[in-house]
Amino acid sequence: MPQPRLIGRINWIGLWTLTAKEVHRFLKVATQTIAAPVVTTLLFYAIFALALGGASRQAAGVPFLEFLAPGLIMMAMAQNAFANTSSSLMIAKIQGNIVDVLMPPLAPAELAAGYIAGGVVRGIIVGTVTWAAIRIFVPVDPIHPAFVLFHGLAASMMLSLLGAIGGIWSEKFDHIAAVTNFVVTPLSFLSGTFYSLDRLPESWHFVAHLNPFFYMIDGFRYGFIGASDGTLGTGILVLVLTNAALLALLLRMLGTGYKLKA
Amino acid sequence: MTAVARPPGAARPVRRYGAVNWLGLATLIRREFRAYLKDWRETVVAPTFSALLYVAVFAVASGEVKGETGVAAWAGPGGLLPFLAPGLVVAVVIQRAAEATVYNITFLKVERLVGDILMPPLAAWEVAAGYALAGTASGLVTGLPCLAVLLLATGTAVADPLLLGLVLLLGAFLLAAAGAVVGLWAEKWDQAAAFFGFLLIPVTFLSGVFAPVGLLPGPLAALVTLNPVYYAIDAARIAFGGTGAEAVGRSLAVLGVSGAAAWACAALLIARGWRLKA
Repeated sequence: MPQPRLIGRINWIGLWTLTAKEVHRFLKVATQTIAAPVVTTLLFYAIFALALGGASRQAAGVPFLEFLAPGLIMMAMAQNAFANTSSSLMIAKIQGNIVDVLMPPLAPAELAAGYIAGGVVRGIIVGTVTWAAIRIFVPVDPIHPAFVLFHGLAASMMLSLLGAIGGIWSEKFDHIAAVTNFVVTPLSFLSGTFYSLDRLPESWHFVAHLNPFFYMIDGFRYGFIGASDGTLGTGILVLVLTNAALLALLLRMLGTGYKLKA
Repeated sequence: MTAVARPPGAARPVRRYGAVNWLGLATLIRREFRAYLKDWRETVVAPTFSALLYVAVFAVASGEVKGETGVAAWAGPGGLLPFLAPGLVVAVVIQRAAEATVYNITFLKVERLVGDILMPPLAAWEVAAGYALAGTASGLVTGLPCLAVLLLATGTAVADPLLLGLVLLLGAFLLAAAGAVVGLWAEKWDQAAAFFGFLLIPVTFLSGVFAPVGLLPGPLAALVTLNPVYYAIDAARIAFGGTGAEAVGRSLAVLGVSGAAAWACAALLIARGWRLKA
């Protein structure tokens, strides 16, 4: 007679299986999930270089193209981390195969970890490929790798969390598309990806500082160019606290089965 | 076809069509256009909003928000924002026109509903025309609010509304008809999406939406001038009172001829049942 499998404090096999499933899901359509965002990001880079990148043009004390690169890489990472978790949960809910992840012996924290890992891996792959492609044209290398690493991970995690929360909350594709179009895209476009803060009128500086996306781009860019618009310490604090708050919310949603279990 | 009293047992009269099945064509257009409008938040509001985002980002990044000038010296005395409006309107209109037909046809194929368009008494060229015209209407219905918002945001006016209307109409028809060909080609959603991510959007954005084609490196600029979208953007900029690089008549001719060619191509493929009939 088969004996029940003993699971320790953490269901490592289950967690690994969910993570692998999440990663295979996007790798299977890598043209859409990696190549397409990289091409779009390079296109933005080319357009801004063409329109605003006059030879002598500077932003934050470095050539405009070196300023722009980290912002665009971060934007691509963030948008793709969000897209990964939100689409995975959304599609699973619509197609009804969400039971495949709700039935196995996985605790809320393990479910959250598996989904976040999928989003973070996609963010990092997209970011790394974009960086490698930009690197062909413009020399941009990390000078403070710890900042690059921390902000890259914190931002991918934050957007994975937002995507998971959005995916659980949405009942139709329209809902999640609205979150993407009207929240995530504007916040990332208007966060300092394309300009340094001194380009904004004074009265807008305060508003810019309310956008968590500002801190992740600012700190990430500091890792590449050594100059920052904000206070780096505050930025790290904002990212850690935002991540903690979003994680608590996601765990609560998964724990209570909000919009997941009827 | 009004019901006519006929003697019991007599055969139902065969419905006669003229050269064109107008009722069927209108029904197809209405159906496709309604499918587009049903998602108006995604198909009308979202593209208008993202066009505004581009304007905002360029306004700040160029320094024009703070009154700085000369960053985009090529844009002339009016600054960068008036330069952006015509290109963005054309980009939105043609992209929406193409999405309407590409995604509607891909949907039919993926959901195995192709019978809906193959069974009715519509000739292949009527089906192609139905999709192309519905896509044209879809592109324009998004283009109008987008145009209004962009005019307000960039403080520009349209110098020649008739020309702009003609450019948008021909541009939308071209991409809607070309979209029908892409929809026939695509067998999966990925392929439909790849057309936009790897072809239409890069080509459009490099065709003078954000900066003149002349700023591109020589060979690339020469390549870009081979694509009809470039002519649409160039002519639209002239309609806005800006300067263009091409003669308006030539641009309109390029758009008209390539639109007709795309429609003929779609009709031919539908007639042959390419990727539609097993």
